[in-house]
Amino acid sequence: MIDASHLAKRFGSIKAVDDLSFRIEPGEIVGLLGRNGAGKTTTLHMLAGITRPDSGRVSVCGIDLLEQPKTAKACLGFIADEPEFFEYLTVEEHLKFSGMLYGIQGTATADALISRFGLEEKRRAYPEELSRGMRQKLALACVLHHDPKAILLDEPLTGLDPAGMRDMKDTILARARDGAAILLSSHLLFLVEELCSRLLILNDGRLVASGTMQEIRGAAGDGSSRELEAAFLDITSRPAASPT
Amino acid sequence: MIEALWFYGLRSARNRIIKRTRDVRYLAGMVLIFAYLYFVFGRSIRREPSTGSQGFVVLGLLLFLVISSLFNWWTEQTDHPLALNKPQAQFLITAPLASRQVMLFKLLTTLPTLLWSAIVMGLVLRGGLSPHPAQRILTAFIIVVAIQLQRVGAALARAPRRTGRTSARPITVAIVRIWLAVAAAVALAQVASVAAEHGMLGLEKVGIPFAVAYRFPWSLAVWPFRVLVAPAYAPTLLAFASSVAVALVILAIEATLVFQGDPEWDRIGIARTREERLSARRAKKGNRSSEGSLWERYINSFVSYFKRPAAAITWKNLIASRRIQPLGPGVVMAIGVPIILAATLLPAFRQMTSFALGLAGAWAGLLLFAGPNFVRNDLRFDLPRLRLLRTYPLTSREICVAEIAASVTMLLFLQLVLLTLSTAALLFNPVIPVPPGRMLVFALAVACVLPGLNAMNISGQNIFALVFPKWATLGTKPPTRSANPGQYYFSLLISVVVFVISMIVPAIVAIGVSAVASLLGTSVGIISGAIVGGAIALGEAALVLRWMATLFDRVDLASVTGD
Repeated sequence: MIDASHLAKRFGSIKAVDDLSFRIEPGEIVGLLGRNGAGKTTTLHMLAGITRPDSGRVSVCGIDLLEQPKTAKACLGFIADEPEFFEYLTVEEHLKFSGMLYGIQGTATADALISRFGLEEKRRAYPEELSRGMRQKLALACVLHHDPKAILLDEPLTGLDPAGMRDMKDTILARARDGAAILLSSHLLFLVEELCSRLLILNDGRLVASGTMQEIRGAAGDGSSRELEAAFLDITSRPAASPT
Repeated sequence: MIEALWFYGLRSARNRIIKRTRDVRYLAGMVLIFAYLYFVFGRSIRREPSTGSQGFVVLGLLLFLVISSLFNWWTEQTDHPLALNKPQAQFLITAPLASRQVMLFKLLTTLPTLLWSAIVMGLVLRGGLSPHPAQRILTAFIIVVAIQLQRVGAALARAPRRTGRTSARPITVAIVRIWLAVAAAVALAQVASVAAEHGMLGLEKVGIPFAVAYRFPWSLAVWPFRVLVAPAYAPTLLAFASSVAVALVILAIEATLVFQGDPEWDRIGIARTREERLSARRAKKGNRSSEGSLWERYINSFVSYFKRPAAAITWKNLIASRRIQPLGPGVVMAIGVPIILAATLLPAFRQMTSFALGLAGAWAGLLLFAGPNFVRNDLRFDLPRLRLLRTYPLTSREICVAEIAASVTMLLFLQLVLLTLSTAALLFNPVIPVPPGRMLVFALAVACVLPGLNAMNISGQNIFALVFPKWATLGTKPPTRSANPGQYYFSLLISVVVFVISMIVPAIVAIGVSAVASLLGTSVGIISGAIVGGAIALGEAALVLRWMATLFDRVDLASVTGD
């Protein structure tokens, strides 16, 4: 479960995120939408404990992230838009490293993940020897290694081929079925429509719309994905005000 | 088109300065640096230099120049000095520019960094040189420009072209390499000769043969380098002007030769990312084994003793020390120096004992004071991945301690190898006026204080990187040799200053404890003083690490990752 309450963050004179509150229940996949610079990545960074909010609270799995960051992060997984790796560690060493960080004994989980994501042949490869899709899989494997109950995904499909996209979508759905609360930030409306049960739309750092797909569409008429796009453009073109 | 290049170069330099000075930290840092330079060097600018060190400082500059050139021609450069960064490649390679215009642009963009390095060198290196700082700075600038031209020239001459051949004929490269090797030997012999003259390092007994380095034809090998150094100590304005003119002729010849080169930009291409560099290095080394090297297996078993999750970071950094950092020279010196010490046991080499001791002392001092500049597998490696570090289920303090632990371990390893082997080599040397038992006590005392000293010193360097990330070398990319001696000098200077200040309390307490405990015996006094001093240094390091963890929490993501 992810619970954000009155989150705010400024960078100098710019309000990156302003009074943002929402809650994601276990098993739920929520889409985070917004134009470029709307505050999506800052929000994810605050939820992942990367950036400290100026005010507000974040709770992950019922644990306050600001007060008990160590315990809260132990049940959290974050995949950045550009996953980062250590160039001097191989694929299996990355999994060993993440296992050590989260206190996982043995290599059984790591081996299963390597096999699950088809990385056997690249077991001893360094990150730069991996394709974009493989790197994304490695990032996902490292995150899933400790079986997080809350997952934050920033543009998870960037650069993936159709097969990679399918794989990633299946994995996200499977984790949600297993009870993980997932927040997914993306510009790809078709992905959001396919995976998410609820949407949060940010504009100028404020939450301007939240609700189910139908509720969001309702703001500008309902129907096909074209109309979700229209609804999104309509909502984000208005000056930021209180959520619909 | 050249206006566009000037616009880019000048505007980006201007914007960078404005951006830095708007940041209070950097502004305060700059004020502190200039205040330091003024109070330490500036106030004594008008003072006549002492003549005692004249030969050494001039020879030091000469040696710096020769050795840098030697490295440029004999070793592989990690990046081509003309390699463009990604935005430069995107705009310049596709633009209708002549190859030489791009080359000129690349060379001109390095000038501000070189000038900064020259200012630092000119202010710091005073003894034996001209009392006028401008004269020293101009000479230092000539020297660093010459080294930069050498780098570019060497890279162009040795780069394989599409035809499969190198730009310069192999025989030409071989001749240059041999000349530089001879020049380096001659320069070293000249240093030894001056040392012998001053009765230093025990060389007075063997000094005569070195004097030959000043005679024709050997002296000819270093003549072009001497010309470049000469303006630094020209006594009159006329002598200075004429020596600068001759030096500029040498630079013009170098530049002309460099511009004869025709870089294949698509092959030099874009500055290699660290991944590409690693890949290239690995391709040379061959495939890795499934279990890793012996060293990595030792690391695995060493780290497995620590069951805490933070040990994962130390493990990762120790692995990095094997795969990224060239620690080979450090290990070679840590073993080689004791071998030289051991050789002095033989009667034929006994008169070299003080020279060998001086060498061991210099290397030990370098490892202690400058070690953190070489061994950097800590937070400085990882700061560009700050976003990732902050997602780990660890407190900031745990992360900082784990990061520092890797560098402390590596540095301690090198120091203990040197200390143990050197002590063993000296134990039965009749020239040393210390009995073997006492020598072992001293060695043990040194071993006791080293962890605290290293922890303090490395923490200082990491704090510098957190406070001034734009002035520190971050990530795994090695610092370039000639482009940033100024930056290198400053981080070294700060390291030494912080280190010396932080050692005042442990030293005072250690001396006190030692004096009291000596009542039970001198050896007990030495060991207890060392243990207490080392413990206090470790305690100080722990306090510094607390502060470092606070800084780690506060450091802005964009300042270290470029996000």
